[in-house]
Amino acid sequence: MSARRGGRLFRKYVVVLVLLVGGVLLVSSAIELYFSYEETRAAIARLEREKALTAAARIEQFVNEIERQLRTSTHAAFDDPAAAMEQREIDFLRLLRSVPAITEIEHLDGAGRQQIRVSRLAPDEIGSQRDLSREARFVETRGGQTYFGPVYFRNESEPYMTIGVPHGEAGNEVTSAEVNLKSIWDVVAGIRIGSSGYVYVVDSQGHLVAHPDMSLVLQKRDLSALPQLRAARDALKAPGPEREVVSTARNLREEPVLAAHALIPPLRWIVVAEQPLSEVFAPLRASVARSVGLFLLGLALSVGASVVLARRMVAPIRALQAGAARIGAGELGHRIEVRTGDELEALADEFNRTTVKLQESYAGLEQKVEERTAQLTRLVGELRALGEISQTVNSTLDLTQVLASITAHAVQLSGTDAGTIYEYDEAAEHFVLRAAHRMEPEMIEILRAQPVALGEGSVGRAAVARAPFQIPDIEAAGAYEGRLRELLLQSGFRALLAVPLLREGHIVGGLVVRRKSPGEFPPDVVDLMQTFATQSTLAIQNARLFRELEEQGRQLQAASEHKSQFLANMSHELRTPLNAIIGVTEILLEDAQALGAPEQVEPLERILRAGRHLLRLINDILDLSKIEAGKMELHIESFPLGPLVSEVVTTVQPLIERNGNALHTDCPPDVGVMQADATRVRQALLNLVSNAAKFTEKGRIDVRVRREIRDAEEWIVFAVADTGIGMAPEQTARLFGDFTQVDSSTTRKHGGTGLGLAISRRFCRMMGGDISVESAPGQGSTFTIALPARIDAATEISPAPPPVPVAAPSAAAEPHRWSVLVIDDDPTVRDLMQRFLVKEGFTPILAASGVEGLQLARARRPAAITLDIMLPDLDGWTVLAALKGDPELAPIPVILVTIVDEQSRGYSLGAAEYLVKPVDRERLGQLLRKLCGGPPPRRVMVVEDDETTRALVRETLERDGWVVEEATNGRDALARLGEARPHGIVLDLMMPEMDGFEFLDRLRRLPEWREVPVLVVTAMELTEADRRRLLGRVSEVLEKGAYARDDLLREVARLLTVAANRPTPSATGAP
Amino acid sequence: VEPPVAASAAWRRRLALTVLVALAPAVVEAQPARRPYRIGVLNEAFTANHPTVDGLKIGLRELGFAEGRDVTFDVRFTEGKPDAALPAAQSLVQSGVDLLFTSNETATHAAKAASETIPIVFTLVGDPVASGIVSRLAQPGGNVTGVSGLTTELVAKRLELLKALAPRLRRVWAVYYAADPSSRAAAMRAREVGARFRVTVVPRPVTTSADVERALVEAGPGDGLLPPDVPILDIPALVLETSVASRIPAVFTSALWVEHGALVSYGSDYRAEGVQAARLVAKILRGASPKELPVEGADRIDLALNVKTARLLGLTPPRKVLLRADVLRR
Repeated sequence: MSARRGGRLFRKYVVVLVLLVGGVLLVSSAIELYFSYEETRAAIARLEREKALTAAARIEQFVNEIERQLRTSTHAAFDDPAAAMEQREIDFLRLLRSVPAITEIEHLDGAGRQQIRVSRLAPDEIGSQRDLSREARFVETRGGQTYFGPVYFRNESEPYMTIGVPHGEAGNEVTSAEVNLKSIWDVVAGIRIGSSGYVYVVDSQGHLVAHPDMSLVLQKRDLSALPQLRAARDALKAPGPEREVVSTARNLREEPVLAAHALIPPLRWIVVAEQPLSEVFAPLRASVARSVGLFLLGLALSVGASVVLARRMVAPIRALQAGAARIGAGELGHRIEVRTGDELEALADEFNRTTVKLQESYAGLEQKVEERTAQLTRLVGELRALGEISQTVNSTLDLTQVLASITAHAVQLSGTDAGTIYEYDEAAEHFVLRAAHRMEPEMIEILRAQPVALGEGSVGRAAVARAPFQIPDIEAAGAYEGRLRELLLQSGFRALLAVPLLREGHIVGGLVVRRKSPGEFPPDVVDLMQTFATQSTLAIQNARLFRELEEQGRQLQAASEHKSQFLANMSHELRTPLNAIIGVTEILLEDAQALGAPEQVEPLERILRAGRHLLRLINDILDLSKIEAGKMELHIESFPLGPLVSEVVTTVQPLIERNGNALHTDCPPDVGVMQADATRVRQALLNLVSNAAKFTEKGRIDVRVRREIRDAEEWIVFAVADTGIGMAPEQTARLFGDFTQVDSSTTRKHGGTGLGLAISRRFCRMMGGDISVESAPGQGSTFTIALPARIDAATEISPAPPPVPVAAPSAAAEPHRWSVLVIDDDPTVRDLMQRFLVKEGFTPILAASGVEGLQLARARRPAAITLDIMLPDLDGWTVLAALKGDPELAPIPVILVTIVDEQSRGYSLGAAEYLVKPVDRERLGQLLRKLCGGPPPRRVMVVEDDETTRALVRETLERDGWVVEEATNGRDALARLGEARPHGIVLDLMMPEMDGFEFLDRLRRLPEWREVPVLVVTAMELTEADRRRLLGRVSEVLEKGAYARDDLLREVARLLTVAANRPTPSATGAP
Repeated sequence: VEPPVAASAAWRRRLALTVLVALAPAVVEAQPARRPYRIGVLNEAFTANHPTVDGLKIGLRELGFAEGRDVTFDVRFTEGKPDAALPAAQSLVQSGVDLLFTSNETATHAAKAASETIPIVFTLVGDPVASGIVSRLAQPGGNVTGVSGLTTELVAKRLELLKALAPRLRRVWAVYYAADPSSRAAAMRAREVGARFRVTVVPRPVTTSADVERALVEAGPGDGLLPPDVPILDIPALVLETSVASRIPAVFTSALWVEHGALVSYGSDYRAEGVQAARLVAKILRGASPKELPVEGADRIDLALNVKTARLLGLTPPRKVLLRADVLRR
């Protein structure tokens, strides 16, 4: 910026000086040029005028000469006309010879008749007497004046003019000549003005007569429009003293010209002289160049001079400016040197003096600032160190690291050479080395090996004194008696400072810094070390607290783990026998019902109820303990809400009816799909509805399902309202606690574990929702479950993989289509499963271990497999993996039936379903029917020779859902047995070929057919021998005569069903 | 104080630049001279120094064109061979001449055929329109202009002259090269105007030298000869021979023949035509376009008379003829 200011001043000076000198030069050059121009123009105009006049004079002279010649040629006058004629001819010939411009010459007599004509180009004419009295040359000369005709062209290209001269005594004869004007052209062409100026001639009409460019003349150019001619023609029209007219105009080639003219009065011709302006002013151009050169030279000189002058003036000012700028920038040692000997030098000196003063005052100021800065730097360092330590203390619990950091900072900031920190062991009453900085390893070794006792060494003494303790010089006698004295001195340490670490008066440890130079530690260092000591105390304290907390946490966790493990183990141990109890009881109950033993039914039912309650309780506790231990997994899937709700309602319906309640379900058909753990949602809803049913008598229960938008997210809200006993606010507050019912008496009255709500709420919370309640005593209660409509699970399990399609029932697969392989090591379970399967119409295949299961699966290719997880040899997971890994077995659907609750794992390994023991038999039945493509058909073979009876039996049985096969006699039946195994046989005894007895003998001899129930229907009167023969081989014998026909048939159907459902003991035998 | 060295160096440079700029116009004006114009000369002459060529050189010199410095000449003469003209013209065009200067019709036609762009200035063309060289005299058009020898126009004057010299003349043989339109035009014109002088003009077109011989043999006492102005088939020379040998008066078109013993001639002066054409050449070289330059008629018409030959032929030139004669050979 300063440089630019200087530059501006310099430029100003230069511009002003240049303008002055340049302006004077410019004006003088311009004036000179103007006058040169005017003079040149005038000179050229004069010259042109002269040339024009010369040309005019020469042309006039030329014409006058011809006129004179013509006049003189006609002097001779002879009396003899012939002689005169000849004389005239000779005269004319002479004239032709002497005047080349005349091409023809002619004589007309007074009457205008041609007497003689002599021509250069045409044949001569002598005495032709042609009448030419009307010709202009004759008419125009009547007044005695010479006739000058207009210019015309022969052969289109030769300019000619007729000149007629009157003569003779009467002056009425005419001698006329055709004059070639080319010589005028020569005159005109010969005149040059400068190098490109020229002269041309036009007649009074403005037509070109002569021009150096002959072609222009021959083209008969009309120049009357040219301005330079207009002026001249005006002069012609208005005769008077001829004015000198010079004009600047354009010529035919549109060049600017300077034109002057002269007149030839007798011919009324105008001679114009023109010179292009470019040439006119050519000399002027040199002059201009000279002037411009001079101007430029002058300008250059003036610029040079200006620059030098301006620099002279500006340089010292610039020096001042630059100097001031440097001083301003803080360069106080700078001195401005200006030696002009004028005011500027004085100014510079003044500047320099001021600078000296400024420099002096700065020096003092700088010293102070330096001192303060050092102080500040130190303080900042301390603060930063403390900050870092605090940060370390707060960010890590690694005490060693913290203490190492404190030691390092303490050494650094106290300006000492080494440092150590000790922790005080209260029990042992000694100090243990915890951190050292820049200490000799052997010294550390010694300190580690032998902790410093209280009161010993500097640390011990400082601790005892509860105050800092310092030894300014270890070397000084009696100053330090510690066992490290020699070692310290060897290492070069001379002074040390120990500060105790105290907390509420208790000794926590000590901080020692050592220095290699002797001397007292300044108070601020002691203070600083005390601050560090405080930090160290804090760190040690923190670490101790943390250690304690960690220990407690570990213990707590172990306890919790033990509890969970215990609960899980106990539940398992409890559930296994309970399964057996419930299963066996169910069978017994069914048998009792089937066999019609009502006195057994009631106690069995009680056992079953108690067992189931126990099982629920165990399951709830197990769930709760799982939730508590964080081991509960959610099995997230998408499922339609409608069916779930109706399923719950159906389940709870008997309970509702028992208390005389009315249930109203409000579930809009478009409520749609939810993504959550369906089992848990069902469980929670079931819990609420069954609670409502339990606590309401003869009232109304409303189940309402809604899809709602809350905070821009979709929620599903289930509300269960009842008109039951209701609750007080303090009761609702305790409602969701474990083992809680409104009061203990309700438990006894209404049953239930008291864990349902607690578990339900936990499940809902796991899914991101909750259960809430609104209630007042006697007003009924409304429980509300609110769940997000879409729960994203990190390990979302898609809805159970589509059931693996059952292998197409090919002929080979047919025998196995309804077979189910049960793999379980528990014989009770196997037994229960077998009974169940047989009852359901399936063919059970039993395996007691994983290996056996795999073998049977390969050998028998069952339609489905139920698999336990806890197996003696291969566990269920391995078996499942093996099944799914075998391409031939992989299509067989596997249902996991186990106590282990790891659904996700099961599904991910390819299980079709996952059932937790105890098995819900209804659900298992549904699943198997689904997986096997429908309920297994029950086959019966009717062996009867009478066609009518056969058809009747067939019809009746088919109505009951049996698949009937017919055989006409025993042989036929035996042959057909191989085709499909019947579940029962209806046998007539009296048949051709092979009767019933023989058939039975043969049938029972085959092991696989030994168990098939056989119902004998006969019209035959059986003898005692017959009966004995049948005993133990058939299920029932119906004598036709004892029944009405319909009754007989119904009885056949009933007995057959009973017989088919009753398992035969030998079927359970392990292979 | 800052050192002014760098600044002053820059200043010196600037000053030098200013001086250079001031001097620039002087340098620019000193342009290299233009190379000389090359003029291709083509005619049917038998020597390089045909009078028209002399005239051209004289005329150009008068107009400021110095030979060698401003113009150079490349002269081709075909010695009267009709077939040689075109190749000669083409070779001139190929050699890159700036302008073609021709004499006689044949050469002019050849030049026209060889180039439509190089300006052509002709001389010794008796009738440029009749021969098809130009369409109009005032505005020739194309790349051709020149000086007309007025041969056709002057035929009547020649017959008049011959009759004046030989009053007993009854018949005139107009021998001409059949393929030359201007010669033919002149012969026809002669036949037209012959009656005026009580003379029968017999046009005798010829195509070979033998034809010429045969035609000339027919001329006898009381006859006259009217040779064409073009030297095709060497007709004028043969006419001169016959005229002198058989004492048959003949009127020629150029004083050239009178120098060589011909009786009389009436026509343009060849050298003057060359001088006149030089004006056109100069205009063209200075940038004018030939199509705007009108064909000029010959300025100078000379009457040349060989008194010796007249005596040989037993003729007495009347006073009127003598008075008219521009050239008299005694």
